[in-house]
Amino acid sequence: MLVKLTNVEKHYAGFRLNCSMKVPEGSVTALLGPNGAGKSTTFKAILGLIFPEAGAVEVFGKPVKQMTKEEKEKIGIVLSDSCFSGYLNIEDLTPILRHLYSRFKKEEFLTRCKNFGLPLEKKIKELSTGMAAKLKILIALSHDAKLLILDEPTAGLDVLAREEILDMLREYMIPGDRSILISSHISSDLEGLCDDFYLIDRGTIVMHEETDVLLGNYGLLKVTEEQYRTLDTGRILRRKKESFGYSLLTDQKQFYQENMPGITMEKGSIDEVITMMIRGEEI
Amino acid sequence: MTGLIIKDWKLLKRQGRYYGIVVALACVLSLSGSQNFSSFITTYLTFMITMFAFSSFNYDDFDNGMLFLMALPSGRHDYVKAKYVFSILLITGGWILGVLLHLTLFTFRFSLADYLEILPSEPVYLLLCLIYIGFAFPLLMKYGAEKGRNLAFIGLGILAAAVYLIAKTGVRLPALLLTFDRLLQTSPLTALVILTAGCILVLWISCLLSMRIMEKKEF
Repeated sequence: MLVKLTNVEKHYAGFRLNCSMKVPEGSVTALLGPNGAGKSTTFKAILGLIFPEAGAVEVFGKPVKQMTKEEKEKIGIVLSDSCFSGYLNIEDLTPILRHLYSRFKKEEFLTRCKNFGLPLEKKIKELSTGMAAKLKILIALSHDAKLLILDEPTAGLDVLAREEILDMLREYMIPGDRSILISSHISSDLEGLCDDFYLIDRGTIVMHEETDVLLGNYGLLKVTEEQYRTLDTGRILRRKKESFGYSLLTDQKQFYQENMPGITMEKGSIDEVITMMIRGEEI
Repeated sequence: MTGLIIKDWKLLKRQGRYYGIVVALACVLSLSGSQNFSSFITTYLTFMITMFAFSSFNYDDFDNGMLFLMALPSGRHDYVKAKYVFSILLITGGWILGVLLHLTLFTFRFSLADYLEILPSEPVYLLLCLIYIGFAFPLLMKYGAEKGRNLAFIGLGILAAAVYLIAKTGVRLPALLLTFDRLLQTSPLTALVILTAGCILVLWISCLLSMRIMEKKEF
């Protein structure tokens, strides 16, 4: 496991994180959830920026506090609202990165920046949102990292810029021994990228599923009140009252397709699953 | 650590024009003043450069930058070490520039022999600025750039007010300070060695304290 959180607890006023999760080698794992759910807090715990009150955080198989500089160099980081000072430009960054990361690939970094149309002499704070996001990813990719920790890397980007960034991440995963832990509000981005995902709500992991399983087995049933009364609800995860009756989330859509052929069923998407898991009620 | 020092240096270079104005202003003021006022250039430049060492914390705090800096492989201890090394080098550089300008301007207006008489007092400005960052940096590390700097200025203000009151009211200085003052007059070199040793001690303790503060800090 490249990252392992075991019963990690952290309390703030009005918020409590209680999180367990794993990021295996060679996989892209997403951490999803609404604003304030605890995604950034979880990332901070993994990066050693906060100190959990209980539980264990391990990265590369050792407690995060015991990680050496060399091991930390194997992590590429994108934080949603933080980077190098906006008063620096890309040219300034190259000697800084060269001294921070022993495996920094200057030529490759500069070539990629040029290919993505990033002006080398413009201050970071003067770059557009899309350019700044691309730069953050390029910095994370510039030093041969084994693990990428990406907090909202596509936030505020248009479809094209998002697709460019996702392509970069797909290319990064080609060697097979690398991993990504990513959080995003835009779950559609993640459907084509992630192997599995965790759903966090109010500081607690409420769901962990492989993306293929979710897309293949999860379904959203739309039933009237009458249909609901006769329905076998043993395979229903969440229920939500609607004007027509109920929306029901199941992780065994095939069962309902075979046994209740007349029922209206929609394919489960990550967005629908998130909405139902968080807004829906347990049966 | 080197990467972080380069970062601060690159940020300093962004303010090159501003520091050019500072140097020019110091030269003009120094040229227009009396012989006694001439050392203003050393004091002024050393102090202004010390202010940049402070402002490098503002750059780090800008746009939540500390979060990213602390997530870098260099870590918390290296961040502290980089800040001290960079600031000491920077302030010493500013002081050397001040001394060279002072020497040039003073020799041009008065004489080299007169300058050599006041030369032993020059390092005092450097050492005082270094001692000041020794007191201020732990505050900046603990409370952040804005609040920490304000607290450091308040401390400096209280000290300045105390010095002013002592001078104005003629209150006797504590025995230790009186001895040091006498030593400064009779044996300036010994006084400087003692002050340098005190400065190193303050910076060393300050650096250890800052590391401890950063170790415990959450971002």
